[in-house]
Amino acid sequence: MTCLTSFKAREALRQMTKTNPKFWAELSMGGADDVQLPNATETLPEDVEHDTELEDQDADDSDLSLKTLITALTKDIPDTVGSRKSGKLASLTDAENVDLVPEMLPPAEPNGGRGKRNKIANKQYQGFWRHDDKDDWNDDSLLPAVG
Amino acid sequence: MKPEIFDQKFKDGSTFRASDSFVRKFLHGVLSWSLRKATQAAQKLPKDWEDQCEQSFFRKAYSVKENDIHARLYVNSDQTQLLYAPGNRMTYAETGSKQVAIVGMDEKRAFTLLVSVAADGTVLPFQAVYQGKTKLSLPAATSPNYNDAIDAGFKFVFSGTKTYWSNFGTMCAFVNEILAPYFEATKLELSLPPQQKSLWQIDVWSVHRSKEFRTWMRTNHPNIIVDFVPGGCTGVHQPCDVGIQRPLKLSMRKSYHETIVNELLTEFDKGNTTPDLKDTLGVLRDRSVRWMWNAYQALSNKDLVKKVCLGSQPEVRTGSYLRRHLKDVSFANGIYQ
Repeated sequence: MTCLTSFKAREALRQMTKTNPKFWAELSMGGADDVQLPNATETLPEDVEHDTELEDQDADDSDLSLKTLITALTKDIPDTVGSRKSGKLASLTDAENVDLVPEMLPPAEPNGGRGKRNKIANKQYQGFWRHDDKDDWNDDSLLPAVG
Repeated sequence: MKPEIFDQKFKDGSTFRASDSFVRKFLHGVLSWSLRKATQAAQKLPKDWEDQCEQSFFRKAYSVKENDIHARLYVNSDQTQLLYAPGNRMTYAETGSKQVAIVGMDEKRAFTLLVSVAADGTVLPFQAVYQGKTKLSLPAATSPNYNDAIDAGFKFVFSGTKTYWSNFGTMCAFVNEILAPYFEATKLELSLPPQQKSLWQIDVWSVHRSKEFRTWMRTNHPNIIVDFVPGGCTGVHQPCDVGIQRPLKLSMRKSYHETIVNELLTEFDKGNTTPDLKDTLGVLRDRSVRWMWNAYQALSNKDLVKKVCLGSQPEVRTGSYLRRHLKDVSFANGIYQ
């Protein structure tokens, strides 16, 4: 990565009178806004009002916790997280990727024969992520030890 | 259904969550519903973006060197539009259906957030711009975390127009009320004189590059050097765009989701199984303060900010100018050593 104050960067600046005198003149004359700025009448990508209506595809990282996204941005992408071509990140844990459909909709057995499921009472889902959740699962880059 | 799934531990140790990817797979696989949403073409970089970014790099390097600018005095600001109800532009429809009506599609309720970070990792207080012409368009002082936000230096301003977009007036207010006071306080802390220069990096949005704004800056804030991110290069060369907006938006979504879940659970606990969610503009606007406060705390992470500041500088190997002149460079870690 590049450092603005590194010796090499400054050495390049010191040599710029020889290596790129035109750019050096622009730098050293100061207040060179007019040189670097596009015409005010030109329409640039920055002038097109961002359409929030279209942002969900690019901006949607909601598969991950905030902590995991920050880990992925600052360190490495954890093994439990995958990256799509678009740059979007997704969870790779078994719980989210195992094929649950056959288990969740078992075929009906006539007359309560073999394979009939034991009935378990319904209960409310409590696994909602909260912004300031103190649960370990707030960081989905970490998996509890399999025990 | 199968409630025991909540207690099941999978081979890799994970436990079930109704995550986005699970919900999408379930709706697609079991109900044959597909997610419908508009797509957006990725912004194209200019052909000479590498050279433009390198020249921008050297402009900053020159300013920093000539004016002895401390890392805390180099700030990048970027505005983003935030929906009060993220995700309301998406819906599920039977796979294969062509025309999909989305309830609430005509609504576009949002506000603008101006986010700023300094090269040492500091996150400056946010400025939030709300649509409207009076103070009545701003969040109420009774909003959750309102006092926290105000104490931290947040500014809530009305646009004075029919949109929630920033404009010349809101930008001047930002400089007067957030940026300049930050620079002045930092100079005092660093025992630097008032005439010490600071560096402010912004994009080339029409208001920023307008002669009116540049003249206003030179007249009113001559010690702030304005540096422009090359046009069309914000996605690779602007710290806020490279790495701050993404966790910011995720944080806002999580906070919104949390609000909705809490509201629903509260109603369920009262025995109301078909609650109407409160979604008037005033309610959402007041809630936005807490969402911003959560995001501000989540982003106040110096590792994250420093990393994105650094990541938005050109890679040595990619730029032709640096290839020509600095080909054996192994740069130190950090914008500032």
